[in-house]
Amino acid sequence: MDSAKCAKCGNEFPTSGMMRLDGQRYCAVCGEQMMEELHRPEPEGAAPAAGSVCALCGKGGPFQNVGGAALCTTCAHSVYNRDFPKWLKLGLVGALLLLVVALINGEKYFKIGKDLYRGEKLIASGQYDKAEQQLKPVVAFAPDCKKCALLMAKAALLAGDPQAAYDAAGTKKFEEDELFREVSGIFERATKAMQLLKESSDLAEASKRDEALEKLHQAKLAYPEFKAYAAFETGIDESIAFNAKDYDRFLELEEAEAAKSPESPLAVAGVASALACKYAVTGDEKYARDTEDHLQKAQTLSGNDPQSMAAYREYSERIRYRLKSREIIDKTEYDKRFRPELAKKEAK
Amino acid sequence: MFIIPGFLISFLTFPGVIVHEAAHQLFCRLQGIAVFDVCYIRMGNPAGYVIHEQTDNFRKTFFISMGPFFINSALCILFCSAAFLPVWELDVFDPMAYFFYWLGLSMGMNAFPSTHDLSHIWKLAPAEAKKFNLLAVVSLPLIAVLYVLNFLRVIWADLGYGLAIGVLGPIMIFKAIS
Repeated sequence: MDSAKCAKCGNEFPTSGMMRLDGQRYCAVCGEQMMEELHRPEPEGAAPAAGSVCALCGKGGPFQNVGGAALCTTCAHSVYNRDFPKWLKLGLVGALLLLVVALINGEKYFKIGKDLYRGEKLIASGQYDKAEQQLKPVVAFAPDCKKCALLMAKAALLAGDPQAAYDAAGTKKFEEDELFREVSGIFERATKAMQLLKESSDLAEASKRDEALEKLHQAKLAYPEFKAYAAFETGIDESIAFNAKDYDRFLELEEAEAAKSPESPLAVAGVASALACKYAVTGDEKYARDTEDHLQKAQTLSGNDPQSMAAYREYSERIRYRLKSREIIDKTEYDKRFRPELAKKEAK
Repeated sequence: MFIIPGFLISFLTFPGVIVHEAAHQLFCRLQGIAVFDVCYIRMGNPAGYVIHEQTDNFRKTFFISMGPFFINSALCILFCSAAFLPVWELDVFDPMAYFFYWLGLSMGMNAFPSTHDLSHIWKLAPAEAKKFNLLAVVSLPLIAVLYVLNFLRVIWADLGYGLAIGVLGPIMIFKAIS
């Protein structure tokens, strides 16, 4: 009896009981299994038997199994190296160009933003003077920026410069938040101190030295950060000396103040004012020349600062009137006579 | 809750959808995974898709599924940083800055991987984590958070994420360099 090996299980069987499939001999059991497999519907994506077609292009093999699908080598290469469409590549180039444009457009903001964050850090570390300088260009660039204005105001107030704080945020209306409430609180202290200084100044005008000094002390307690208390204290004595027509003492005090702050145009102008008084009462031309020299120096020290220049124009006009007329009058009287608009404005 | 149809959000943030799908495709290519079909944007759900070969390799699965999350997030931070100061801090009206902020936000809003993508990593991660695969260990909590956020899309978690990285990212950058 002829026998042969089953192509699947490898056991030997009589050829009469074997099946032939694709030129191979199988035993009855294996043959039936093979028949079943051949008639089973193909699972989706499964690699087709040899002789089938590519799942993508429908052409013949050789095939490669890609994720369970039989693909011809060309299609297999294309799915592994699927190219990006042209419009997407152009879009990517466009997006990169946009990013460059965005960064160029943002450059002007980056410097300001850096100043803003540095200012914020300096405030946090208690370096208020530096923070004020850092935040100045930020407020100039973005005047409507609430955070910028409030941080600038906070830095200026805590650096003892309430005028700069007022310029930054004093006239603006902002929604209330923690920073706003904090700055408002410091503003209130500064405003109270300024009122007390005004009262102190009025008392000095009335030659009430002790009471003027008491008000000054109260102002210091309310707003200790203010830098100009020493000048105010000298101002009380200057005011008393001026009102008492003690121009030698007035000159002495002004010279001491200028020696303390040689770079301050206002301190130098104070000496010019006292020298002009001396000229008015003595008629000694040396005092007139010295007055002009000090005015010249005050103008030079004012530099290009608009505030200092405006102040120079105001006091130089009065001091030169004093030289010209040899009449000693204070600012209030001068404004009343020659600058009524200003007098009305200041009275308000 | 203010409901806006998903297709409308996709339409309004289409650059982010396109970049998300392109990033999927890019990572498939980088990881040597076959891509059978790609749709970058369409009016439907999902707004875009990439049909690719599946793999049991965790690293490949991770990068293909999470790639768009990293690419979109990075682009969101970049575009938003360029526009952040005028829009959020300086109160300066600059239309170009608003355009770039929208572009950045569209990237951020479409950064989340789909739950389908996450499920692939989720299936492989525990076994890999047991083998002390560091990427798998790190990815587990991230995937869990992203899963939750994906479900919270109905309450605008995607917008919240876009805004969070579009605001916090630039703040951190500027604070670090100043």
